[in-house]
Amino acid sequence: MSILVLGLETSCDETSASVIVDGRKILSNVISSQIPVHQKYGGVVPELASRRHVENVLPVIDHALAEAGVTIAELDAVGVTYGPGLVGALLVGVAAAKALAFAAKIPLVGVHHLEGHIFAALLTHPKLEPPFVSLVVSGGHTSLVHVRDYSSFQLLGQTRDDAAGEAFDKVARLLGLPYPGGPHVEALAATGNSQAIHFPRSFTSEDSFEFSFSGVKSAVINYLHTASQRKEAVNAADVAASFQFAVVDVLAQKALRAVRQCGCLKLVLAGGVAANGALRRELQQRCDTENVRLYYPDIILCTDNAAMIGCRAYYQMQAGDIADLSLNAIPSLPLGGKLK
Amino acid sequence: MPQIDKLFALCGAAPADVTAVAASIGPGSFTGLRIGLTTAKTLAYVWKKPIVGVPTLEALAYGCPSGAGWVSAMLDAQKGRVYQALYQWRDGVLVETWPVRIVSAEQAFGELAKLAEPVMVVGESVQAYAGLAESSGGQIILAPEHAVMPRAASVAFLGYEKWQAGLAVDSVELNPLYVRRPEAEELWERRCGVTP
Ligand SMILES: [Zn+2]
Repeated sequence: MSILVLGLETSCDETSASVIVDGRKILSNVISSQIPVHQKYGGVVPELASRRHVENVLPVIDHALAEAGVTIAELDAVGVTYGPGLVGALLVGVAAAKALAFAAKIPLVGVHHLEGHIFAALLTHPKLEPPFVSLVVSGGHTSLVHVRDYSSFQLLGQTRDDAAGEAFDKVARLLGLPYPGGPHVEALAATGNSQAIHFPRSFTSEDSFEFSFSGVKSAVINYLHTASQRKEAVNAADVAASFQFAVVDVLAQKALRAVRQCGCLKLVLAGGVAANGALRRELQQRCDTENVRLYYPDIILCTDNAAMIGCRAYYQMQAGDIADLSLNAIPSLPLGGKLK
Repeated sequence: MPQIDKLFALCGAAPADVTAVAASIGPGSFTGLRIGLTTAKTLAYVWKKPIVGVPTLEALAYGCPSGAGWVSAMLDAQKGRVYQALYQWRDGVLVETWPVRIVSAEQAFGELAKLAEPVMVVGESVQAYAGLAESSGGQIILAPEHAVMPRAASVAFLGYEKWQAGLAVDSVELNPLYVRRPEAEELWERRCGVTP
């Protein structure tokens, strides 16, 4: 008998529901994006996001079930993101999942959002199994995680300040590019020279896996400021390319060092910035030289989605990690906090 | 959720016995409303039952049956403002006179003072307005502490009446009655010179 899990994700600005078979096969993955709602504000407005989630959550669940051709009675479990994320947004998904689990009399699984991102690669690569090292890069996170097995996660290091994706968004704004900035910076960078300007890389200490991206962001601000004071023209494409390379360089170096240290020769790229072509290419090149296999999810599974949550929930269910109906949203839920 | 579970056990009923779900739709704490309403909507969705929305202030007024008089329900809306509505009991039926609005506490009490008959004010923390009620004049009575709490039973009774009146909808269609717009939206419009 195959196991059917409904995944639910509302931690930020996407409302998503998905039906997953045996943790690996996607029957449906419906994502209702709110990008147009937040665009004019240049970032996600939590209250607006929460209001949209309330309106969207049932239609999105209904759509995901219909597309999968599955009824609620056939579901074996419901998995939901309960942190980290925007508390008001998380609470909508958690409330819906709890009511659904209660009314349908099925188990409820609380999923850590980053663990979900990491597991997205399992949906794209059916044979991929832990142990591996994962680099999670998104608008909210930059973390290196050692995944020892399906339920053991060790956080090797994370960002001290801005997330890598956040730095992309801020630089996009400085260059007058629309929100969300990542893809626009990448497109502009493709036409520029990444060696034109040397922006500083912050490696913190030599043996640390911590990141810091506020320095490179400030360097871009200073560069643009100085140029405008001297009334010099700025080559925006070169700025974008050089900035992107500075970020990618640090990410790639630390990720490869983590792989060497953990000795597992598998690197899994995850999170919204995993869609960045420059990062993929740089990592691929360095992985090839060091005989490391690089895995990344399909583009659609890089951004926030419920398929990855359903996948993660399936493995938690196998490990007996079931939540009760008092599950609450935890906006700053630590990785591997409850299982270790 | 655990409370709903216990409730069924307590009254010896099963979810299958439910005919319709009633939920308060607001106004109130934005997050609180969303949790309550999302829970109720999802239950109705899975059970394939209709849902009835009950305005929070109407349920508050309903919990204070005062014969044939005026009842005004009020809830704090922050920054010295209140959500307010005015109802009148006529032959055992609660009739809405002022739909939910958001006004300063001064205006809320000032206008109640102009009513020709006595009016009972209900709502959490109304006792905090004792001074304002006094200085506004008129015939304003603040409801006693025990009669000012929102009760699920009032929501259920009112929900039943509305269901009988054909006001139930599909679970997907019911949304919160926030009354207040998101602050970010108002700020943005002010900054960009757009008048709503
Ligand atoms: Zn994410």
